[in-house]
Amino acid sequence: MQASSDPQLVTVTIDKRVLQAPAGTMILQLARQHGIEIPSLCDHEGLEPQGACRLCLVEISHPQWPGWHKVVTACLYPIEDGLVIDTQSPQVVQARQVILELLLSRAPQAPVVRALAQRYGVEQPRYPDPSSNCILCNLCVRVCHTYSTGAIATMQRGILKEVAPPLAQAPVECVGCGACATICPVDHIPWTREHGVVQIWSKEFQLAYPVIDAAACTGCGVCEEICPFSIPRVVVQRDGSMVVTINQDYCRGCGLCVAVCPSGALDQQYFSHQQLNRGQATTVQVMSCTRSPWRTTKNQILKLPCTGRITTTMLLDSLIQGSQAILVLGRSQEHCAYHNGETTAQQTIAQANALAQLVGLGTRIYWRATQGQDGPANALAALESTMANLPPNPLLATPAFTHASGHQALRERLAWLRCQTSLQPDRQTWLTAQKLPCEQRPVVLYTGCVPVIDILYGPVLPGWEVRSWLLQALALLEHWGMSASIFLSAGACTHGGAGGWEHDRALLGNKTQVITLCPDCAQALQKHGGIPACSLDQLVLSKHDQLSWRALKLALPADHPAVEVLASHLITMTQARPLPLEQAHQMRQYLQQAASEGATHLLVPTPAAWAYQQYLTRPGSWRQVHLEPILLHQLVQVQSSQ
Amino acid sequence: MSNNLTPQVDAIMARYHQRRDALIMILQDIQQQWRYLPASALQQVARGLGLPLSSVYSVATFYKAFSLTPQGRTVIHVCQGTTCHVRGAPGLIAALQHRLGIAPGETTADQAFTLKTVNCVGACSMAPVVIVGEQYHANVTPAQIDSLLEVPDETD
Amino acid sequence: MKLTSIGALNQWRQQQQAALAQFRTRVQVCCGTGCLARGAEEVLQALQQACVAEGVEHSLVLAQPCQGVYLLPTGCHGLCQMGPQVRIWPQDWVYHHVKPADAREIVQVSLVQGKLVERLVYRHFDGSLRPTATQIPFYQHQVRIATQDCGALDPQSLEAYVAAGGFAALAQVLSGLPPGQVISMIEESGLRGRGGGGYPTGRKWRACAQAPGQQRYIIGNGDEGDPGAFMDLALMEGVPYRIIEGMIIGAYAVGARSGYLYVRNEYPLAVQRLQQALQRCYAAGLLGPDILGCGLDFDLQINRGGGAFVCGESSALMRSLEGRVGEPRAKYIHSVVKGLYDQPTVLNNVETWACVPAIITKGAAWFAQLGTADSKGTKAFSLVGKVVHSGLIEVPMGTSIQDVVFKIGGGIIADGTFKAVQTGGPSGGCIPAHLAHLPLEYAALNQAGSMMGSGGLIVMDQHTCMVDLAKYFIHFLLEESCGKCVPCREGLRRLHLLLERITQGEAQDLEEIRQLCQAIKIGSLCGLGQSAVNPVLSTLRYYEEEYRAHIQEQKCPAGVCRALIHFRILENCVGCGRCREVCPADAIAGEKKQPHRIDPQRCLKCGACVEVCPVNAIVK
Repeated sequence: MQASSDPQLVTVTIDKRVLQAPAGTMILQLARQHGIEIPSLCDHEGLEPQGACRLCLVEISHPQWPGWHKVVTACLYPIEDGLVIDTQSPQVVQARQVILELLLSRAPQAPVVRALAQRYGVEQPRYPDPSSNCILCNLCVRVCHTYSTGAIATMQRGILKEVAPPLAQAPVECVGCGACATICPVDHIPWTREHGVVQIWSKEFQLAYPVIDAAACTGCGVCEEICPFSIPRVVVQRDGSMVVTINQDYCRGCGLCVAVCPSGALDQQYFSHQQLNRGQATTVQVMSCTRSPWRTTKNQILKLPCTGRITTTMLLDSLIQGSQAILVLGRSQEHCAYHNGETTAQQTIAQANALAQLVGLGTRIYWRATQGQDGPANALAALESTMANLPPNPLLATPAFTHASGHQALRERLAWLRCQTSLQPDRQTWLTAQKLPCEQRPVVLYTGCVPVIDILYGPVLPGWEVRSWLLQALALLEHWGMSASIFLSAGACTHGGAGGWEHDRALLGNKTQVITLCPDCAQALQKHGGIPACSLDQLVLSKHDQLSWRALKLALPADHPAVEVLASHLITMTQARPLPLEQAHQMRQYLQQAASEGATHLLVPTPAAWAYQQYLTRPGSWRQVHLEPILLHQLVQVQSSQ
Repeated sequence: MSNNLTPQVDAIMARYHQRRDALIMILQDIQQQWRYLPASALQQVARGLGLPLSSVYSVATFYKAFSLTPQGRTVIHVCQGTTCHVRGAPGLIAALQHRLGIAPGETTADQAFTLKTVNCVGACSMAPVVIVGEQYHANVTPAQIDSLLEVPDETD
Repeated sequence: MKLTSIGALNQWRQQQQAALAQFRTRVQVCCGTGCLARGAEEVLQALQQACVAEGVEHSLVLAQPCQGVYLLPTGCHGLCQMGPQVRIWPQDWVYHHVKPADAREIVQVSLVQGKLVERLVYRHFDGSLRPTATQIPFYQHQVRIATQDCGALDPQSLEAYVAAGGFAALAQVLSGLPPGQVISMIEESGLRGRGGGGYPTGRKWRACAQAPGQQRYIIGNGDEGDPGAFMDLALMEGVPYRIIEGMIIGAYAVGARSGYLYVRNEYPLAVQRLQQALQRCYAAGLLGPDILGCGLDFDLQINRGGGAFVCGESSALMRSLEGRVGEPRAKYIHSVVKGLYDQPTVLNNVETWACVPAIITKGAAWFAQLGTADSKGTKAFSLVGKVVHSGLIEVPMGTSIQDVVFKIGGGIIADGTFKAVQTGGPSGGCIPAHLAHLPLEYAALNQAGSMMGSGGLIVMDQHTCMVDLAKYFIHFLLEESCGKCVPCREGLRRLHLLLERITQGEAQDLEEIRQLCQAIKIGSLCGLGQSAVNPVLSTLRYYEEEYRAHIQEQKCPAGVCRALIHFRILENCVGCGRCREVCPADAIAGEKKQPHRIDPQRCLKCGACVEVCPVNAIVK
């Protein structure tokens, strides 16, 4: 036996093929990785192996121990160096034949059993006893106890053993997630989803459909982006406006679209914004996905169809209402029933935490992916020790807000939070946390409303990142001889809500020059605060003939056609509202033309326009165009389809 | 009886400090007190220990010590150990079954008797053994069955 | 009273020994489950009343010594067949089949006058009276280590156990034997697991002691599930303190701070006695923190099993201790490394634990010289079935089956023919009479297609049908299978179906049965399934002709299989009507003084009539 080169790797032989893998890998796992087939009916990569079906029997031997051989289950046997594995030894094949014949007698109708039996030459069950098609692989029970509420289990033992809910009645704990039915290899668990009703284990679950406020919908399509099943569709109406439609025959009611809608045009049945935002002062507010098993009355729990349904507004409201901390319990990404619900939840939490940090509340929102029946309780216990170091939340209020969702709601919350004297906003720390320079310089780059929007959009629209934005703005100013420091405000313009700018004015004092990111902010500062301010937009426009420098900075050759395009064409889109169809069409034509001229980068002026641009170029529409933002003025990278 | 079930089940769980690994012992104590596991008690145990109800039922139906249906006032255990088997337990079971009109595991309609089999009680020298209530009877023959069943019926 | 040092223990021991020495006479009433079933408790009460009536000074507890009689209940004497037993010291007389009515005479004759009550004495088949235990063949061939003092001590009395040298082994260990050395002693003794597997105990302890883990556990397995086995029962009821002492020593050796005793639920008396023993040990400072002031902390608690044979399997037992369904896990990672709560765990049978104190005090060499090269020491067996003297025995390993059945057991009842002996319970197999010369040791039994198992020896005569026996065990295991894996759950159901058909005289292919057995054997997840087919394979190996008789001739040679036998009444019936009276199915009819008849349709074949017939006119 040769010692393997890598100390962690061991060498084994499966059916005369020499393979290397880390010690401890299960034989079945290794065989699967290399396309060596070993039959199995009770194994699933997301679940602990249990060795119930016994079909994955293999015979093992070892050159060091002549004469030693043993039949083991491949799903449970960890490999060790030098092991020789025979997946088709006569003994193993014979045992598999007997086992398959026994299974076939039990479940003669199950296609998966029949197919396997046939492959092993077992055509007919000798003593058919099809009292139940269930082969007791226990996958359903394991998936329910590992990733859901543990509503079903095996009852009785031996030949009487069956998978059932307690007392064979509709299980109280079942949340209708359907994982059991989906994982069942013999389709033994009846499950239907029709007309918004899921039926399983003699229980009915109403799906919580999104409710659309067509008047508020901007047709931005974020819901399209987020939906794991691509159900929402933005359609163009006769007047050219766009509105989303959601086909209820396919919608699964996770509420992700409702959570991310920036215009507040979506709400959800049974889980309305009004209901969900109405939290209560509590030590730890727990929010969880329906599949999280929660069995303590110690903490209040808010159960949602999916943690992706959580909004930043909800989280802030809970903090405003005095929660010391918020614990969001979900599944890990790969075990999320809605595929990307968990990532969405994590992003929402990251936003909310960033905002809370900005206003001086610190990090108080935690996300935990839990497994198993004790996962939530353990997560809470772990959080309690973390919480010991948290300063108390000074807030305890129930202000009346006008908006319940969307950006407007968020701006309202932020405006309210900015006015709280009990909070000590620590902007310098926040800047440091975002890895941004925080030293004082003569020129001030006034962030205004932009970071809020940015944070809000960041997760939804990839590449939309405040940090690179701000750094590039600073570099641009530096280039024009203006050494600037970032002044982090929550916004003076109308985007940022009513309050705050007076506060900002006091802090700004008599700084000589204030450059804002947003044109509206510049206007507001001048109008209300009498502070001379100029927006970066204006600054760039006034100096756009010098922009070839940007192209150089981007390492484009000086004679690149893009430079010309950069210098000569500017797209101006200042509205946040969607473009009318003809204008959109015009823009598409423009982009195509630019591309045909060899342009790789275009300049786009405002973030709102950029967001809109992003919508226009989202997957499924203008796929060949990909955008990359630089501050307010973005270079639109045109990837020619050639 | 059922009125004070809740506090008593709570007391039983408290005896084991609501420890989940004591589930089997908690169920045994409940079984001992009520001669079966009432559904409401099982729900209470699941809540009290923070376990899924399905797990509690899974345990309650796995182990032979538990019964989910009320037991007769007198439980008759016929030992089915090997010695008792070779010394005639099957005949005893057949006779008892016929005499009481119930199969092993069942309870008579008047709730007087429950007939059960047990896999060896360790009194093999006395085989076959029948335990009526808590009274062990050694070397039982089918002919003695009627006298075995003459137990004072403690109907309240 | 709390013993805070080894010195205090020794001093207390001397006090107890002195108390014991005060008594003039000791009267031991066996109160094992067997004797209790036959009224031992009433006998004890009657003896006490008789003492009062006769004015004999007596005490029931060692803590209140007197000059007169120490009247005590004890654990199992062994010869359960002849219980209730009363043993009188210092003469060492043994009285059998004692009834409460005999109490007055025992007190008057034996305790007052010091004479023998001859009618209660064992009478050998040669007609001679054998009043003392040493004269009774049943006891003569035994060597008792685990069951030592089982029938001599009051199982509830810590005083009695300590007076008899109890906890001396623990004191010896704590006063300067390092844990590693304790393990070495157990290794050198050659002690192997008494629960069935026969894994070397010392090796198990060492593996556990060396395994990484935050906590270590030790477990005493008292979930004696094999039908026909009651050694563990007798030990737990008879010498609970010895098991506890063994476990404390084990905890010290492997570094465990908590332990569990998993006791079968069907053994209420054992639970009660162990519970009481634990309380006494805690009170005496022999359990809990800082045992005997030596810095050893150890907690021991009792868990009652839930009534599942599969929980005798170590991984299932551990799941059960965790309060879960007793389903075994595949053991590619041993439980000594990852056992209870995934921590290193030593699980030993209570009999194994009971052997530990003697190995410490008497030395590994002393233990190792008993038994054979393969199997050291002694082993307790429950000798039952169609044998004259059934009961609890302990013999050196290597004693032949023949010696056990004939010398100790006194042969077959009703002068029957010795046919076979089943060892190892449902996981074991049958050893036919022609192999009775085989020694009782691990290797020899395995070779013969059986196994040591926990120690049940069920003796069978010509009236035992081997097919029926195999079917009985398969049925037993079918009910006890946890149902997790396919070969055991579905395979045993199939096997039972096939055997059922054979016992009904329907043709079956024996080759098919063998193939099925092989798949179950190699395919099952745990020991229960893997060994489940042993009763079938061993009976097929030695008694194939009996299977063939069922299949080909529709006959059950032993007259057991009910589908193949018919009860009928012969001509010599005197018409006494007794059979008609006892028949539970009213299947017998006939005029008084006229020959009766059995209605085969109604007959349950229970055999009640056969028993009561005064002229043996009813035959199968």
